[in-house]
This record gives sequence, structure tokens and C-alpha cells, in this order.
Amino acid sequence: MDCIFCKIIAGEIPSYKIYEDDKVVAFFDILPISHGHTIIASKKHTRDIEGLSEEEISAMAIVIKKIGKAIMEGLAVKGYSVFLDNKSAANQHISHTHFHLVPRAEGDGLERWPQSGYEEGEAEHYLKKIKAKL
Amino acid sequence: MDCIFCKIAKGEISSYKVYEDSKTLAFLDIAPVNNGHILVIPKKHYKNIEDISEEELYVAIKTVKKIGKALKKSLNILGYNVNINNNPIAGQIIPHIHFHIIPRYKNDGLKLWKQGKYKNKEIEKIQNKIQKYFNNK
Repeated sequence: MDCIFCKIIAGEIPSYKIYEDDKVVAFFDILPISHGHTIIASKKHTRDIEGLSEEEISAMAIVIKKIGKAIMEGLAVKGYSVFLDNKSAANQHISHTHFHLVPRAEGDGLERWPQSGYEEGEAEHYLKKIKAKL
Repeated sequence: MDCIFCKIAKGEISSYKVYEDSKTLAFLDIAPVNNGHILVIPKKHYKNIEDISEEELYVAIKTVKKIGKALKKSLNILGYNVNINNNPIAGQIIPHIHFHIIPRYKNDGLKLWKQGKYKNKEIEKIQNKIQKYFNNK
């Protein structure tokens, strides 16, 4: 297995681990967007969230809450951004399911992506397409 | 309750609903970052991740998984980003927890936030602060 996160989980590569249980591990991103930027990964190797069982998703949810609280209280920040990037085109660089927690501060300059609107009838078009696959 | 997402959940305000179950709702963001941009919310009002229960957060992520899969099958996309802006400092505008699911298209120009590096020992100091929180609990 050539996955860097699997190696971190197995302890073959050192990491700044802040939390671990039987299903999930949390460690620092060493190329942080902000200080304390944490990666929460499932111990099981799956490429994306679609490969996680309900039990594993539940374990992830519990750890997101836990780490979020630790970040807010430990680093005295008032909020954080959570990301789950699916596929490399969406910035998923490691093919092992993981969430990012990015602590946020006043004036950190991190901006939301620009939003636009739908033209007449366009929203209905997308709605129909997506609903057809649900 | 004056919350716009609560009103959408109750059907008092119309929305482009793509999916609904007993606990969650998914609908099109009418100010999309990309076409097909979806919002997933718990029907019950929770302000943020601190406020929502483990169980309800899990149920919402399950819905996110379902919608992400459907987006990949229905739209010609390369992937998607899921994002929660947790609290106003993180850009949360509506104080009712919601997940953004943003489909990604070829050359859509959306860029990841810039990553930096830790200076000498900085990372250990920050690790200690968070670890201390766990130890003090």
C-alpha cells in the first residue's frame, strides 16, 4: 500500500497526531492553510466517502465535533471551516477519505468562492437532472 | 422562528428541493458557486457543529454522501467539494448548520486556499495547546 495516510496511520511515517480512536485519526496538515489546520481521516483506506460504511461515517461525525471543540477552546478561535474534497479536480490530493478543519480568524483573508445566479429555467434543469439519479 | 432554512424545511418558503427524508433536506443554492451547488440541512434548527448532536450530524453527512454520488452520476463533473462554514468568522451567513456541496467542472477556476509552512517548533506549540485541551477535560 503506497498511501501516505495509511503509512501515517500505521505509524510508518511520523505525524503530529492530536487524536486517535479505533476508526479515526486526526493529525496536523504540515502545509496548513492556518495554524492548527487538522486532517481527520478514517483508518480504513477508502478513496472517498462513498466507500465508508455508516458506522465509519458516524465515527467521523463524532470526531469532527470533538476536534472542532478542541480547536476552538485550545486555540481560542471563534470558528473553523470544514472541507471534504472529492476527487483530485476538487483538490483531493490524497486518495484516502479525509476532512480538513481549518481554524479561522478575523482578517485571515480567506474568502468564500464567488457566487452567481441561475438564468431563467436553468435551476429547474439542474434540479431535474439531479433528482433523476436519487 | 425567523430562520430562512427552517422556513424552507417547513415548506413555508419554496425551494428547489432535490432530496428529503425525515431528518434532512437537500436543495439547490439559488446563488450557486457552480451549477448544481446543493445545500444539505438538518430539518431541525441547529446553529452549528457545537450545537448539533452526534447522531444528527451523522445523518446529515449520510445525506451529503448520497447527494455527492447523485451529482457525479447526473452532471458532467470531475468531483465535488463539501464545505461547512462553522460560525460567522468562517463565513457562515445563515445560523442554521448547512453543508455546501459544490460540483467541480473542468477549468472552473476555483482555487484551494493558499497553504503555508510552520516555522521552527511552531507546530509543536500548537499541538500542545490542543492536546492540553484534551488532557484537561
